[in-house]
Amino acid sequence: MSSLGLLLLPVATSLMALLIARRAGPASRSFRHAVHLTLELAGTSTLFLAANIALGVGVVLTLRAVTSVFVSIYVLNDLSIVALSFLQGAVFFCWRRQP
Amino acid sequence: MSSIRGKLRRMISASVSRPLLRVLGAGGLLVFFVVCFTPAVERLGALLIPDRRAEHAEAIVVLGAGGVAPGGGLTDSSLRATMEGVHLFHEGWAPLLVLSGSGGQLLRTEAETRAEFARQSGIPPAAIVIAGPVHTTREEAVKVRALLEPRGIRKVLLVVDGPGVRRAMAVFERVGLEVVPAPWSESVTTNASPEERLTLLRALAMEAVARLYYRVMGYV
Repeated sequence: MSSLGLLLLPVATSLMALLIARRAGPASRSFRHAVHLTLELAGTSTLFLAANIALGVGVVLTLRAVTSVFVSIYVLNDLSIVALSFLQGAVFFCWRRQP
Repeated sequence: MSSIRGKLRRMISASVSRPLLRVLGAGGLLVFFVVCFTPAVERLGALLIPDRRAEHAEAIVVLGAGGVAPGGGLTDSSLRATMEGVHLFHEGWAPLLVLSGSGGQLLRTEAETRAEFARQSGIPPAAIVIAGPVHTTREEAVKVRALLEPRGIRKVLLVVDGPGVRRAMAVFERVGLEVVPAPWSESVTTNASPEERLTLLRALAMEAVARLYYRVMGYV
């Protein structure tokens, strides 16, 4: 399956979910509002990702400069940091967002 | 007074941070979709391919690539690079094979493990030079130069795994060696899956950080 074909899967399931949700009754919030919230959540997570990487680089370089221990910068090259940043962003966003 | 201050703070945070977060979020999602579903990141990776073509040299230098796995064997990327060096030696690109690599807590270093593999692949022990343990590309360049200078070797064929070829070449040239890239470095990933493209993006981002660090430190 090509990469664009992969994109069709979430599009199809989103349309199905939309049909089911419409049958269940009117939405309490507008679609535009949902898009705004999603973008803010993505923005918060992106900020956390940038902060985590910046802090990680700083810690690695400081350890190299201050101690004789060598720490590779490649320890930061791990997908889990993206997932953790998303989780951080989601929790922080839900906690701080205005009602 | 405190309630006015609280209201003001809420107003500022609502009017300033929310639109900014939306822009940042839109930018992040745009990058995600462009990287996953277009060949943009592959084209970006192609820009890092060196201008210079592969040529015969006096030594093949295989840089460290991932170290030794917990079981004691080479990691995938380290084994791939070593195999490329062995292949180039057998094809006659250079009469000497320099194997570099990091140390670690294990009995043998990456370079020693690589040398063992090279010997088992039919390369004479006299044609193998071990450069290690070293941790960074800069350390590798200094160590390799120290090992090759007494032999009168100046021109090396560099085998590097990943997008760090240009930086590695610049670092080796900075210590006084003439560097040509291995033909392997000219390969470009095409038609990659979204996951492979994300992996390539991570590698390119790490390379960007490394390049910035090397510039600040004056290594390139």
